[in-house]
Amino acid sequence: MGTRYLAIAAVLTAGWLLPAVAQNAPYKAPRTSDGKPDLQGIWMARNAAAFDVSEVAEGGVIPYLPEALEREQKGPRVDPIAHCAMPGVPRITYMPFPFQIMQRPGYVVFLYEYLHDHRVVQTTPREHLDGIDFWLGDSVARWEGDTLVLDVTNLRQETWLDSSRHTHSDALHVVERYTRTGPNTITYEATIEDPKTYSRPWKIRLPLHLISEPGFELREQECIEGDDGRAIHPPYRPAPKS
Amino acid sequence: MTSKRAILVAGMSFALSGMPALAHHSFAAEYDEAKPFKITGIVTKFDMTNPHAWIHVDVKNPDGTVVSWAFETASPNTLFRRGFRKDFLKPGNMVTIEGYLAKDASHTGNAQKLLLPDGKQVILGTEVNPG
Repeated sequence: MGTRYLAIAAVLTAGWLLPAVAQNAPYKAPRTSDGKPDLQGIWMARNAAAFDVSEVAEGGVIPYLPEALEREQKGPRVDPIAHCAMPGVPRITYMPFPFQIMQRPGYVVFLYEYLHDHRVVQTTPREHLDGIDFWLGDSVARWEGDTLVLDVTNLRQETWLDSSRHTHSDALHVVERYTRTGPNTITYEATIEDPKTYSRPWKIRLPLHLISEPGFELREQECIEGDDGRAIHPPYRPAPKS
Repeated sequence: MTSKRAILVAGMSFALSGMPALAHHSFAAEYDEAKPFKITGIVTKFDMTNPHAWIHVDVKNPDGTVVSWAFETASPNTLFRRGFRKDFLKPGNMVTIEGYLAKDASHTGNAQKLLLPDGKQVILGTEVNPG
């Protein structure tokens, strides 16, 4: 008798527990040949972050220091990408263009359709470069569980975080986290730290969506700046006088 | 001789702005290999940026006026692999630069060689080096 009750109780308990466990279980990403979470595919943000990054900021606020706001008001008023400058990090991730992630043992490769930018990132830890800055910075990667973490420094201060003129200084330090949270989703988080610009580190978080249309591929996307300041480019250099 | 010519050109083109372009052009589009220069001045800024690094130099004319020049060099990666770092040149450093003047007579030039006061010579040439 006791055994029967126990068995019934076990079945009931299991029946009650199982759906709860299934609901709470984190998505388990497929694996690459070297056992890492498979982030490969063509991804794209579908939101307004490229236009105003505060849309995806935690609490909707960018914690500016007063002096940084003042500096921003006096700074250039033309978006650097209008001069064909690379968009910087994290902006490259949420530009309204697709990008592809490819993985090889020890490497993660980011291919961006926008201006054919790319990042080839080793997942073997190393020190950041010393004495050189890049438009997309210097990325050092590591895996934390199922999350790919990119530590990005050596960023040029000219880039903006969006086309709403949210700026930063040369002290910008971005920690990006890529976690596959569903078959068609990477959850992208970035912690943005810059003691010359913000009063504290702040976070953005947004989904990246897998583009699953058969045959979809990255194509050429070029930007050429004209010297004469015509077309979409403002005059940066006076045309030679004849 | 070449330095006198550069200073002469500097004086002649005083009215034109010397702001370097951000656009990426070939040597042939921007510079004239028939116009070599050798110029000495004080560094105001060294910007080790892609696509090419720029050295900004204030050059004093014989009449005491100062002209601000900007000289384009190789890409930052090329410089980095030659041992350059972004603080290699600091404002106030005296430098002599050899290279080729811009075709448009702005106060810009393509820097090929950097001569430091201690006698050191550094090749700055871009990937297209007619010299």
